[in-house]
Amino acid sequence: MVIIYKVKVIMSYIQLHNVHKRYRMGEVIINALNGVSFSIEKGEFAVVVGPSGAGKTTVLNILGGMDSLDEGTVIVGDRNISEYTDKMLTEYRRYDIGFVFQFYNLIQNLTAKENVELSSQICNDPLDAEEVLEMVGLKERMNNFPSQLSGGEQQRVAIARALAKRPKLLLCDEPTGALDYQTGKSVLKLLQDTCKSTGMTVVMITHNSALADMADKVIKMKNGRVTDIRINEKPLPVERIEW
Amino acid sequence: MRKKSFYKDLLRTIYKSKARFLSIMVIIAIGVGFYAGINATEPDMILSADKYYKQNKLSDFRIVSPLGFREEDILNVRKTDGVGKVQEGYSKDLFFTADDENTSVVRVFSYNSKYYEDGEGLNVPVVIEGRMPEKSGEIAVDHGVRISHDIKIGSEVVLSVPNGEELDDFLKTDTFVVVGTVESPLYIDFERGQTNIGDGSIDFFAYLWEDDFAMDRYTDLFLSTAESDNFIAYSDEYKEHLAPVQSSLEELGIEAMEEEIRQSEKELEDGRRELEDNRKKAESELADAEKKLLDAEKEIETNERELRLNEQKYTREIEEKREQLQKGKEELEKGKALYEENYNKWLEGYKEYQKGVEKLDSAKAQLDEARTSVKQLEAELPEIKKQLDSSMVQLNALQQSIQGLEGINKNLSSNPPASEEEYKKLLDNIKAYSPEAAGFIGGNVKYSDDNFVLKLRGSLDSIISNMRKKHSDGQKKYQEGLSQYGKGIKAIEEYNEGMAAYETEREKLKAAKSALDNSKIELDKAKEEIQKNEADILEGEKALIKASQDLDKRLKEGREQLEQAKKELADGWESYNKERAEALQKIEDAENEIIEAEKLIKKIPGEWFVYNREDNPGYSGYGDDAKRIGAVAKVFPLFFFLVAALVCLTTMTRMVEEERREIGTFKALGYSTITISSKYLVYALISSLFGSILGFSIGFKLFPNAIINAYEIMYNIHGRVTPFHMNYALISTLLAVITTVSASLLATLQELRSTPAVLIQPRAPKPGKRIFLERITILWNRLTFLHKVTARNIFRYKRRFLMTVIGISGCTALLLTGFGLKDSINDVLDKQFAEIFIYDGQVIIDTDKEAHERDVNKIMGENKYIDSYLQVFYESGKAVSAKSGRSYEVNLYIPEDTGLLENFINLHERQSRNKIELTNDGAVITEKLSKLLRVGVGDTIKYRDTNNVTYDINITGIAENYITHYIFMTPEYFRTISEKSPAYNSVVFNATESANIDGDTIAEELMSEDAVLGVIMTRSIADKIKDTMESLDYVVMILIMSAGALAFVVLYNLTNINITERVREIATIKVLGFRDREVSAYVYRENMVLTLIGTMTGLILGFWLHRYVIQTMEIDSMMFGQYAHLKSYLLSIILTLVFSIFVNFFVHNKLKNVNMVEALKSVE
Repeated sequence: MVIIYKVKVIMSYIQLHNVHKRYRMGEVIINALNGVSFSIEKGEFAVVVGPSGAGKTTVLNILGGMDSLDEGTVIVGDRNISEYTDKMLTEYRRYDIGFVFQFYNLIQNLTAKENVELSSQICNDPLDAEEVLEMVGLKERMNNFPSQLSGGEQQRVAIARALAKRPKLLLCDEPTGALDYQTGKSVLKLLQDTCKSTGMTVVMITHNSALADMADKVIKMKNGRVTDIRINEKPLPVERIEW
Repeated sequence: MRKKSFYKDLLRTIYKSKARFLSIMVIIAIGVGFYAGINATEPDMILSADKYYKQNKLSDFRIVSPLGFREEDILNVRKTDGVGKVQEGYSKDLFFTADDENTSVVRVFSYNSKYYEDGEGLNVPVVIEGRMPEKSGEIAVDHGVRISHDIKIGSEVVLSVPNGEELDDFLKTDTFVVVGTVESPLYIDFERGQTNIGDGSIDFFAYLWEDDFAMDRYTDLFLSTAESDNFIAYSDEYKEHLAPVQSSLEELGIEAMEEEIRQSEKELEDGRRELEDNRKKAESELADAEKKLLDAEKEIETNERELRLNEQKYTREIEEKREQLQKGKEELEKGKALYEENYNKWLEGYKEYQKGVEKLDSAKAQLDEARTSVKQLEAELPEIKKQLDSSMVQLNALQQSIQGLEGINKNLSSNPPASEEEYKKLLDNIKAYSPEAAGFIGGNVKYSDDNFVLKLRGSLDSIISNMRKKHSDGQKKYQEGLSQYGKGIKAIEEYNEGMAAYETEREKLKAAKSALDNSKIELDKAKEEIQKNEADILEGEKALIKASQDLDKRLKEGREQLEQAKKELADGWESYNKERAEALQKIEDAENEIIEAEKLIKKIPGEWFVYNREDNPGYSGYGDDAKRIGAVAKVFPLFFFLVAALVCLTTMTRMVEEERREIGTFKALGYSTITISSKYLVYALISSLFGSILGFSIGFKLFPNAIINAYEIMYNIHGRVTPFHMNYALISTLLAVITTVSASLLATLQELRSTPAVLIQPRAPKPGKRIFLERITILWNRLTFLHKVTARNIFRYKRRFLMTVIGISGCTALLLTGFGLKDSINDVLDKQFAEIFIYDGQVIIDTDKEAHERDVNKIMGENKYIDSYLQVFYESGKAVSAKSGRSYEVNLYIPEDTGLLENFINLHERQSRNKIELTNDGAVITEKLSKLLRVGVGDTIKYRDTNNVTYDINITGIAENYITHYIFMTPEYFRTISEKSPAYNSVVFNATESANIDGDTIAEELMSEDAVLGVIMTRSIADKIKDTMESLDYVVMILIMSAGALAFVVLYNLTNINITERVREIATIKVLGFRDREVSAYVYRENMVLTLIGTMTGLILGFWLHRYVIQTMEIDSMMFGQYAHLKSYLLSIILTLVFSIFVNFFVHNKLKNVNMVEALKSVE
């Protein structure tokens, strides 16, 4: 009991402890995550870097309640989501998580505004869709369909969609992966600014280690393990990062 | 192994997408199964029937000759080209009365096992229970539905003919024992045909032992062609094969009938001649009779006159005779008087004479008296003299004896007898003087006696004293006699003197007497004459009286005779008149008969009735039903198939799209277009091919069996044949394979047009677009956000929209058609017996009965269960119109009281439901009839009654009706067109509330009336029809179930496609935190909208499909309900939605299991 108490006291906002994830591919069992442990503090901009197949996305999916884990604990805030049922995970996603994907995953049949509304309509205290779009600089384009927007614009809509819910945790999976350099930069800036201005905890995955500099905390992964956790005392603004 | 990895990929693809593979297979299987199965049903029905016909040797023709067949006819038929077997028989339509008194109309056929012994007999009866008749007095009855349940094996039934016919002409006996129930290939359905007795329709058929028929000519010939076994029933080849045989039979019939008619005409001519002869004969006979009668009349007159004359003559004669007699009498009186006078004179003379005679007689008497004494004297006198003389002698002898005995006595005293001898000598001495004294002394004095001499002396002394006394007495007497003798001589002298005087006197009298006698003779003569005359007169009087009496008697007799003769004459006249009338009547009858015969001859059809199988309602009905199923098979399954093919197409297209990247990869790797596309083609080929094989393998068995099984309720066709139909198998498989394969080909080719680079990239998502709805801002703004999303999504994927709507609408349409068919069929009963024929029952009245026996007011009015009733005339006939060409069997229905009809039959127009009134301007016909005859209000149709008389009928209304056809008209209109009054032969009635119309009570009570031939309860008829219609119900159930199955599979597949197509989107919203229900709702909402749109479209489609199917399926004698019920619409909607929800339920699970990570990762 005492230990738990201690743990709780010293507990970070996000804490992964010895997380294992195995996939069964026929007769072969692949260890996607092989005992991952790290923590992220509230309001931190964390970046998970590593090569393909390092298990970054799996970590992010588990963190976002999209995937289950086979072993270990995942604590977000005061919740142990590793013990959550599907239903609870859905609620968790609904109210606490914002997702930004590499390929935006906008609903093609909805306008930018409607895509934002799609998420804002299901949570308790959403931001106004138009305001969020204004925030991401797309006020003029809010009535455009995704197909009428550029990749960066689409990603911004995706970010707006994630932000509108006022998530406690924003998870971004290679948000710039499909974007050109400049656009990627502006998207990253948006994410960084949002994190700073709203105190939102952001976890971003990237294979681009250059981006590690903009993070408060850098978690390096390889082969399903965390190889390094580094805290950037002075993260660089995005503008100053080159790659 | 070339392209090994390609085929591996193919197999893996199949394995991985087994759900899709299976769904294509199943959809194709259902489509093909249904298409092939329903299509195979028509040939299978026909083949099953054909097998049954061949097994039971259904004849190709039934020939009926109106006059029966002559030997030569039968020979000719046998000789006709192409004719194989010919089987003779009798048939006759009769009344059939069962145990329960229910009377039906039955067609009896002859049966003889000899025809069937070699297995060659035609129309083999199928015994269901019991056996066939084996001897006289046995009957096997129809196993059909119309048979009353009371006709049990072993029960007795009675056959009878209508009035005017003699049963003896047709049958040898009238009572039969039911020995079995049978089916006949001649009657495979419930229709038993028409007749001209009873209500015009035959209720069932029956078989009697051939010998029970009394007809001298066979009435029916059943025959099959030599080669008919080589043809399949109903086929065109079969029809073509029959045609020449039929026409030669018809020709033969025409020839035979011409000859028969000639014969009949000749007979008629003979009859006419005979009639003429008879007429002449009768006329001359009558004339003779009349002449005789007239002669007799004359004779009577003569006799009468003669009688009168005779009367006068005889009366006069009698009068004359009477006068003569009177005269005679008078003369007689005179004669009598004269005679009296003479007689008196004579009597005086006679009296004088009588006196003289008396005197004389007294003198004579005195004389005679004297003469007696005289004569006595005369006779006595000599005697006396002699006595006197003898007395003198005796006295002298006595004196001597006394003197002698005194001498003895004196001697004795002196000389007593000293001895016995001496005594005896003494005695002899005494004896000489007196023997008596000797006897006495000898007796009394014995010599031995004491005192002998004393005693002897005493005795002699006494004897001598006695003798002395005697001598003195005699002396005295002699003196007296001498004096008397003197007196006598003197008396004789006196008498002689008197005698002489008397003689003289007597002579005188004798003369007087003779004179008197003469006059007496004359008098007597006169008297005699008088007496004779008197007698004559008496005689004459008697004769006169007798004559008069005789005359009277004779006159009376004569008059009586005359009277008799007159009476006889009158009788003669009467009988003459009677006979004459009779003779005239007979002649007239004979004339009428000849006219009738003439008419009959004219009416005798000039041909045989050559019925082929098509003329058998059961046969053709079954064929029609098969064709109907065939017709349904042309549309319904095709529609079905199209839906299935469409869904497969969508599925395959979707598959190709899904594998876009692989296609691109293959293409990039350098695989040729053909190879790449062949993967999908093979996939499509295998799935559709297996589906097809599965489909037709099941379909060929399932559907024909189920449907034929259903039709077996209506038709006695036993044994199903469900062979494999290569054509349908090929067609359906080809269609299925081509559709799916070409769909995949198209889709693949479309994809392959792009470069590999493009293909490897995920397909650019279809751009979002504003939809039309958004322009209606007012409406759009009212929609919630998610609804907007749904709306936009629906219109975004047009192809999916179209496919889903078509698929679902197809299913809904099929469902609606199925339910609608059920409604249409049920409507037939519900509307017919609940809305149109609202009466509870119908009673058939025997119009042959006497009027008082069939008094409907009594039979119906006094039955406590009957609430109201109406007399109707009911007859089966045929209707034809100029436009239709074909004739249809109809029922003519004439209510006695048109005003009351609405209580029993509700005549109304179907669509407007307006009531139709019967008027005297025309008739109301039923809807289906108007359709068949292609006529409307104001048109005219022809109606041919049971006696083949045709009337024109104006149509004034068209009434809703479902079962069979009716013509309703008023009695007045009937009179107008037919010029006769309807003979009401039926009564419809409504039962009272309390009566149990299900029970047999009413029917039984009514049947107990002699005049009631039958009772038909509406409810039981409805039940029976319901039974027969259940077969259609089954067909419908099959349709509904198939449609349901299809609907389910289609919906499932479409939804499945919908989900796989949008799995990213779904994963995205799941990531966004949409709850499972919300995710499902997001998908469902679209599905539901699409389903609803599809359903609505399907309802419209179904409406038309239903109508089309109804029109195709409808049989001539029945109209199905034209519209599906609201309930069916609702049911179709609900069922589609239920399927949809059911599918959504599966989908929900599927959505729940959508792996967001996988779904979103797949793009990478």
